[in-house]
Amino acid sequence: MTTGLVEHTSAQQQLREPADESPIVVHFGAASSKRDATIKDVTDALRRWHLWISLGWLDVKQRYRRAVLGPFWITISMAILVLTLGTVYAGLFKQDVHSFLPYLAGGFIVWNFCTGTINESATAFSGAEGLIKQGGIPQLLHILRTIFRNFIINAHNVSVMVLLYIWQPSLLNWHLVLLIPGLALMLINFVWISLIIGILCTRFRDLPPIIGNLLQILFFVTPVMYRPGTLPPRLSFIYQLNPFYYLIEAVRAPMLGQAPPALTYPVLVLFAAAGSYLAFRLFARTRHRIAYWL
Amino acid sequence: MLQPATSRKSATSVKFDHVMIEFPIYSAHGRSLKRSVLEYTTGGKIGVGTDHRVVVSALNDVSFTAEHGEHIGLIGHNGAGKSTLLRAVAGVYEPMAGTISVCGHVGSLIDLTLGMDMEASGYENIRIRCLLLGLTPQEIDAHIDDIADVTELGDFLAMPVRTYSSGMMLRLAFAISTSITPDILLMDEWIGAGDASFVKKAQARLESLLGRTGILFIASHSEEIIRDNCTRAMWFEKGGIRSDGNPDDVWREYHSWSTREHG
Repeated sequence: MTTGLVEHTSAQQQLREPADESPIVVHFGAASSKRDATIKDVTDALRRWHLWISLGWLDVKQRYRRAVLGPFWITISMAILVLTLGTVYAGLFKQDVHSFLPYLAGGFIVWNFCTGTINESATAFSGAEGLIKQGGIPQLLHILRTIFRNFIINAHNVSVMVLLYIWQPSLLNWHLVLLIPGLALMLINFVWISLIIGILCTRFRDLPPIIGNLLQILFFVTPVMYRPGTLPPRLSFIYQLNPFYYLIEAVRAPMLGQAPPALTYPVLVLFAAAGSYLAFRLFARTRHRIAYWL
Repeated sequence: MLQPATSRKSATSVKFDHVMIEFPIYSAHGRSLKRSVLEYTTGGKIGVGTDHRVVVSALNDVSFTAEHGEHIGLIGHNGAGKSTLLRAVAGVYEPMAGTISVCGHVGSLIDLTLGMDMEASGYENIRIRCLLLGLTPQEIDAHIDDIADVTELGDFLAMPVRTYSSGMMLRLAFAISTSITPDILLMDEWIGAGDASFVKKAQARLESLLGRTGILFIASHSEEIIRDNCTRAMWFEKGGIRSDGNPDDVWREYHSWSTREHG
């Protein structure tokens, strides 16, 4: 490809370019490179963040527009869940309620974000059928919109943590700063996970229930409801080899005023790199077919 | 006939080179992961899946070149390939074979209300529609008063769109959609705003939009619209171009064929 050629997805947003700039030429079909087209899709999606943020916000608003409590319904149910489960499980696992309740709350808040995002990414493309068939919007944008929407909805649950901070101010300390790298790594990992799931679920319509089941299993093998230390040592591989354990810890530990396990950041960076590579390969192969599958 | 204004972008062009687009028809089986896995593990011998994949050919060996200043009317029966062609220009469907080259910015007015949210206010909808059409927030800020003016909706713009009548809704959608400046404009049927008082304004606005546009593609069943607004017509039949040329000639050919076919 020569320098004058730009892939197709940029066509619409180039509207904003000054009138005297040289026009873009777009080739697709045999003359276009799938790799370049995919890179263009990704960069365009990132550059048009205004669009996915606006669409995501509208999704959130639409969901709660006429509800008095809006997204805080989820928060209330979360608070009740944590309170009841926390009391029962603290008894079952012979844990101290004082420290177990915040642990459980942090775990559930993060886990809810994970499952919400992954489950909804199954319909990220099919739910945006109208937009996709109009053209001019990068495909990755629909994935980013889904992640952003879930981020906003689940961010409301942080108010449960605020209640816990009022109860136990000692949970708040400088480790909270680690929430920033933790969340960043989590979101980066979500992008490739959601992209892969979004593509596969658009092609194979029997997949979404299977994803739901897998998440259920993942919930049990990931220390959300129990502490990793309560597992007998011969079973500790269950969480040590589980990338989702580190994904959860990266966000949960700072919220509880602790540093995440030492391996967390290297594992998550590796997970993101390997996953993004795989997702990119899949995306490059299937991106142009998504519209046909809808 | 409407004369397209001379634009700074004389390089605008659309070129189709032996383009073929076909749609796979997936049965419940074809969409099943289980079946795909079985096929994979058994070397593709199970069932009729991939070997007998049914495809519908939507565009078949379509070649043409559209230059700046051309207003092209697409005619033909439903399912002849007109809408697929529009979507192919918009980049929705990438060809299975052949090449599509698009030089210029594509603006699609195929669905005017796409992305509009009934629960959101008129202003919110202006913003989201403009973002979808590719405008930046700064450009939207610059345009929003102008668009609001055109709608003549006044205070209603602060209300949720679900409270609008269908005429008001159409005005809003129309005002937003005609505020863009694309090089290549796609329309599926002529767009208009229903109520009588608005018609004149709408017509003027649409003509000004067409004047700013380098190449227009419009699919229409109306002979009048294509004769009045187009410099060229293409008659699609079973996914191929049956005839391409001056709108009057193409329509004449189309009619003589219709009478032959249907008595």
